[in-house]
Amino acid sequence: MASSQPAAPLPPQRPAASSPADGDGAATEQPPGHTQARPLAPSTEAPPPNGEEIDATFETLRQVLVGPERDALDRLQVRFEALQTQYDDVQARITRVGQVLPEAILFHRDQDATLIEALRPTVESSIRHSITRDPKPLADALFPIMGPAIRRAIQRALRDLVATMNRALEYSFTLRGLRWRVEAYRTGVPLAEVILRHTLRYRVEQVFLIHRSTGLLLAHVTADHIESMDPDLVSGMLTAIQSFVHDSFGADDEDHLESLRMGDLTVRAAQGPEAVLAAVVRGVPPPELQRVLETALEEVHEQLGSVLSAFDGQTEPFELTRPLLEGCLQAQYAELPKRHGTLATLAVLAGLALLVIVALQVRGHLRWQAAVEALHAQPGIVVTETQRRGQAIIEGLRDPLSVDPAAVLEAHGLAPDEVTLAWQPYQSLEPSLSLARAYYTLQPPPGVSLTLEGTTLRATGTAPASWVDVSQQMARVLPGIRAFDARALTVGAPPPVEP
Amino acid sequence: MNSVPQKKICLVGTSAVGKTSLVRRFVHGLFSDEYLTTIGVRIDKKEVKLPDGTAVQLIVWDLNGEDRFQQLSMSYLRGSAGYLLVADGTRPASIDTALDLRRRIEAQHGPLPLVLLLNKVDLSTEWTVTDDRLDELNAEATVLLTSAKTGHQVSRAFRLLTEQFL
Repeated sequence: MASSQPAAPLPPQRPAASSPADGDGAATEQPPGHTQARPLAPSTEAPPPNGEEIDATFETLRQVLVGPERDALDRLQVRFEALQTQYDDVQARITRVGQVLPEAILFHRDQDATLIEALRPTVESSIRHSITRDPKPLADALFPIMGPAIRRAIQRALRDLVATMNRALEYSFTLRGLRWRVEAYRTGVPLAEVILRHTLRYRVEQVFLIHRSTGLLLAHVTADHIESMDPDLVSGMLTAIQSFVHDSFGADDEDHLESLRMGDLTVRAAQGPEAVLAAVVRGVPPPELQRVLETALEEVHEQLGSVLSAFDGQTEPFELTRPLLEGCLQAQYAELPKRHGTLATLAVLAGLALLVIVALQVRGHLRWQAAVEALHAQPGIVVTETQRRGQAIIEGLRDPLSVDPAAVLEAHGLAPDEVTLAWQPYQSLEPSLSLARAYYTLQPPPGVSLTLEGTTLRATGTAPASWVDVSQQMARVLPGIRAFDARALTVGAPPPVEP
Repeated sequence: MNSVPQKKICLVGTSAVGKTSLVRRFVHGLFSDEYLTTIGVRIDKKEVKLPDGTAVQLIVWDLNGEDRFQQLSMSYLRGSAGYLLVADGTRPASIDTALDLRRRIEAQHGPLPLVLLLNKVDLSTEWTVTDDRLDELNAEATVLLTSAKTGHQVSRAFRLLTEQFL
């Protein structure tokens, strides 16, 4: 708009400003017009001019008086039209806005939060819309970030769980472990937590990010299972203590309270230009922890320096620092002493021995039962009583023609000398024993065989008549036999005995 | 997520004017006649809702009363959005101490929003502040007559201070 400048001041400065005041490039062409104006004065003495001459004269006069302004107006007109065309051309407008938009956003971002606030609803609803329409692109885009983050979180949770369980197991069999169990029972604190405290070298339990001048809490994280009192108040008190120590002992401005200690708890603080990072540590923190805190605090200042210096009580932006703060929640536990290993091994061995004994007992019992049942199932054996404790005894009735009980027991893995057998003799009416008794009593000659069908004893083969007669008599008195059937017998000399 | 902004405020004044009782009344709704002197600082918090719907989380620093045993440490007021200057309406000297404290605070931290509270207004028979004196004080700062015992104007005092710095 520099071209409009000469137009306004010109009329009052007319005589003097004719050429030097026209700084504008175009105005330098004007001097010829002005120089022409001077010879006009003598020409007024010439004869009266006609109409055309008057018009020309007026035109010249107009040129002299308002020429520069008219030119300026014309130039403005041309420029305005060019701008109008550019404005109407949507594509050109987009290009122009696009050229300055990134810088404009950058510029405004550093000024205040209104731009962020203005963009927030649009960005939020765009994201929501995108997810509703098709969540995949966003999920794909977030995957590289979310994947590792989730993995890390799960790993951490699992590691903690395994570590706690390991400690609990390692200490379960020791005297000390028992003592801790009692302590847990007495105090109502979970056993894992009691073990943790006793085996702990140090653990950062809480981390506070505090605004330095106001003492207001910006962010706060705690380790798992740690309950803290109102962190807002703790943050204020830590700042007040800092001020108190500073004032009371007349420290330099550059000096700060770095450590506070009470019993098992230590507060370690790192100071930055705008914020303080304080860690509450149980146990003895190593010197490296200070470095960890300072590094984290430097990163907080790097990420949120401008937000920190313009802090007005809004703590929301500091949610971003949580991962940094969580990185400070470090811990270290004591190695396990050796003797716990030997005791634990002994305990495990004792347990195994007990298991073997029980298994053997069970096996022995099962074998005994099987042997007794097998004996009982034998024809001609009736088990009436058994005793296993102390000296093993089996009592009962036994037909002398039945199988040898010792052999049955041996077949079931019981040595004959392990068991005392007490049998009362009796005669069994089992068919197999009746038949055996018939063989035993009648002594059939070679070539004769006996079978029992019901209560009838049948003989087949060739036998001498004398044997047949005797057998006819004797068979009927044998228990379990009512008749002797000799019809299948051939009476004659027995076949010669093969050598 | 839209979190409530936090602001630090302080209560200052000479000892036994009722600073801690005002905070107890405001935060916990309690009052006790028992006097416990504050050594150093007590910190409490309470959310204040203004009539226009704005909410602010006040972190209230109840500072020790200044007397011949304890001096108020000016650095406790650092970063404070404003403060309640508390005096005891039954002890004229406490008002002078309050005004002196104000001068010292302003010398160190510049002008800060404040409300002057003349506490113990429930003790009407012992009240010493005349209307003229009240007019003089009103010319210097916003003044409220409060009672931590009855709760009279206590919440209003905190709200008024909050409105001043928002």
